[in-house]
Amino acid sequence: MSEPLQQLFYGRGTGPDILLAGDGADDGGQPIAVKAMTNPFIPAGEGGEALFTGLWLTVTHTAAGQIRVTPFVDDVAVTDSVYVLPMTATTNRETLTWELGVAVAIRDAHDASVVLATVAPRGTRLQVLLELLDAEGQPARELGDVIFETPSIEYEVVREARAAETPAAAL
Amino acid sequence: MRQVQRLPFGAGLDRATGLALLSPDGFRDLRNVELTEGRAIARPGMSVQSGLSLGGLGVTPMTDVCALGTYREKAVGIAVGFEQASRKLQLFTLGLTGLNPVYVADVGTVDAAAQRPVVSLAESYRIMAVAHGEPDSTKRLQTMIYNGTTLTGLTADLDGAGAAAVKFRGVVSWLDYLVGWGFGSASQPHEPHTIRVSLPTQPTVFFKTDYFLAGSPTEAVLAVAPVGSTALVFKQTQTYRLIGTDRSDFGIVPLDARYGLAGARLWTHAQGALYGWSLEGPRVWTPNGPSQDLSIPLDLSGPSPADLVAAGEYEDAFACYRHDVQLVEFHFGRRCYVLHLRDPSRPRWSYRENGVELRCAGTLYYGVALVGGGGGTPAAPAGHPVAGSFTHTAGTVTAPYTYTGALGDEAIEVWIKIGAGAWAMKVNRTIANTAGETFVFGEGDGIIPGTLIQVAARFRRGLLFTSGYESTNPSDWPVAARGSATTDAGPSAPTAVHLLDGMQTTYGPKKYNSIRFTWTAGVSGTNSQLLVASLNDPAAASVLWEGPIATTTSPYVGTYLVSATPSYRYFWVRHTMGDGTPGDPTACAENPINVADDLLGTP
Repeated sequence: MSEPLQQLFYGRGTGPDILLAGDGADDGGQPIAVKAMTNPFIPAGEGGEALFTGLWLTVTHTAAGQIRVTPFVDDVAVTDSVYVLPMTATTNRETLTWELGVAVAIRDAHDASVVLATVAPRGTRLQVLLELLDAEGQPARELGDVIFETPSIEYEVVREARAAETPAAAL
Repeated sequence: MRQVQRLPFGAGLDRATGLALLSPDGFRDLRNVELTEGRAIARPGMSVQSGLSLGGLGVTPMTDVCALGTYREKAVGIAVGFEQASRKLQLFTLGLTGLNPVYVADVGTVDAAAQRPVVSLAESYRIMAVAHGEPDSTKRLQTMIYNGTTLTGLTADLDGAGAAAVKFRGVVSWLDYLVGWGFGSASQPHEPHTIRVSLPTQPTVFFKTDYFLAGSPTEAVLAVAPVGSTALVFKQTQTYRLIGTDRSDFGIVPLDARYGLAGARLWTHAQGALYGWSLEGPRVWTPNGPSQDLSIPLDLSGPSPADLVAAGEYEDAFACYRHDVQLVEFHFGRRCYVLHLRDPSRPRWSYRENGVELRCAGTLYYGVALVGGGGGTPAAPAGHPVAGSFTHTAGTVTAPYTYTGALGDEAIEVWIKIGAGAWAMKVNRTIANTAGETFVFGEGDGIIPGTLIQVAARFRRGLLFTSGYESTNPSDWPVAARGSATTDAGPSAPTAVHLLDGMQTTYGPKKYNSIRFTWTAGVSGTNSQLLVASLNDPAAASVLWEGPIATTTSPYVGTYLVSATPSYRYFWVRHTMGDGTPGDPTACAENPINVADDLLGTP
């Protein structure tokens, strides 16, 4: 690749630095926290419900690091299905696809460490939060590429309408 | 039945659409990514290439980098830096790789009551104009003109009273003209709606008759931005368009009666249009039509993501365009809104959190200088300084240099290194003669007794250095550039310092104390000094008495009023060398002597 004929530089506002744009894995020594939260996905419409059963995530990378995936059903994080996916540094771009089950654990009432069963979370809306972490698990990126490809959501509509609040009509 | 929904990345932020119409491939929050079709790429960072320091001496870092740009005539970068304590605004040249800033001259000293400086740069017909964007014309610095060699103030006769300093709020190059705004004349400087135009191809010549008026003076012109063959004039809530190509057909017409720019630098060109940030969010302007709203997906009137970094002020904000990845960036300190234009028919937004606060951006273009103008292409110097035999005392180093092959237009840089410290540039100016010069460094340069002092020197012409002297580490330069000397040990410390006695004098109802000290002299030194301070801080002390080292008792010093509530004074005795180099007052164990002013009895 030939050298660029023009490059953008930034001037710092609280210091003397002249910074080259698009270079390195940090901002003048400060980490870069990459984060993406999807719009709500509403497969059964606003009055319906679905079981959200799985996620597929595909990432192409050369950088090391980790990706934390947190699903949210009806704005509540599904903490039993938070995944931290490792990536190791490569010299050539490598594409990884993970299949991630989405489930809520039913725990023993006396000992929360005992999982009695897992079930797919049921709700109206699903959102997915993706965060890029460095090798130490901090919100930062390592040197190299990290390219988020298309994620997919597996779901099953269980009812097209659900009980909703039915306020009494004003007389 | 189980189904699968793909959520392709790349649709960008969508914070405004209601749930019924919401597309699942949009994002509620999207930070620090570059969007392509169906992908989101973790954005790369930004790396520090160099830093500006006050006077280019490498001692006091500048607190703001206010402007960056390319001076294409000379094929150098231009940077303007501001240092808060001294309030100096200074111009530097840069390599086109962002390296090696070289101090040129002061743009001026910013008024203590002026705002944090905003600076605009405009290259027009072989000169670079520098304007201080202070809204208050009484606190604004003179517009400066850099020709590649010197920085001089712009003057013009704009009121018929003779040539006077011109203080434009901003400058821009448009067609064959330099355009400046926000300044009427020396006798009527506050004309915020006036836009002045230079003579064609003569960017430093302004006639008092050549100007546009953009609406009424109640709202100031913030920016003039060329788009195609026209130029748009922005106020905060209005936009005008300059038409014509010369004084025979120049005119100004209203373009947008509602929208303007929120800040003077919140605009940039991208893909044939002008993208700017109005008081109601981002918009795009084309030369002829009304502007179009781009802000809807951002839902700026709604709450931002809770943990998104705070935005800076409009006055400090700026916009820029990343040609390589086709991004328009609106920077508000650490918060940035990024418009992805890889598919111009489908602009998409994301947030960006800058690790450091940004103040400006500029594109540096690689290339060669235009030969034949403004002194032509500078050539690297061929000569070099040669260090002679250094001499020294305890507090000074004298470094003679002879110049080999100097033509007279070279700049000399002299750097010193004190002990194990870092190299620091102490001299950066045009050489005084071609045979050589002698440089003397003293206490003000940080010279201390008994320390190895290294000195190195090189020639510079523009941004070019003699071959072999390019490194910013003088230790890498040829050995002839460097010399060293170890300063003499300083004076020894006195011992057994103590208060000898006191004497009290009564004047009417008041009593005054005088006191004297005695000590044992050290073995080296010429004089002794008695210092006094109201704090236990020798750096804050002043010399109360000085005498030959053979004298080991001070005269009575004072008089100090005796009061009911005593106050205290601290006294130190130290020796000095013949050249004035002082010893360390804390080297004597008895220093300081703490004396209360009721020493000889209360009033």
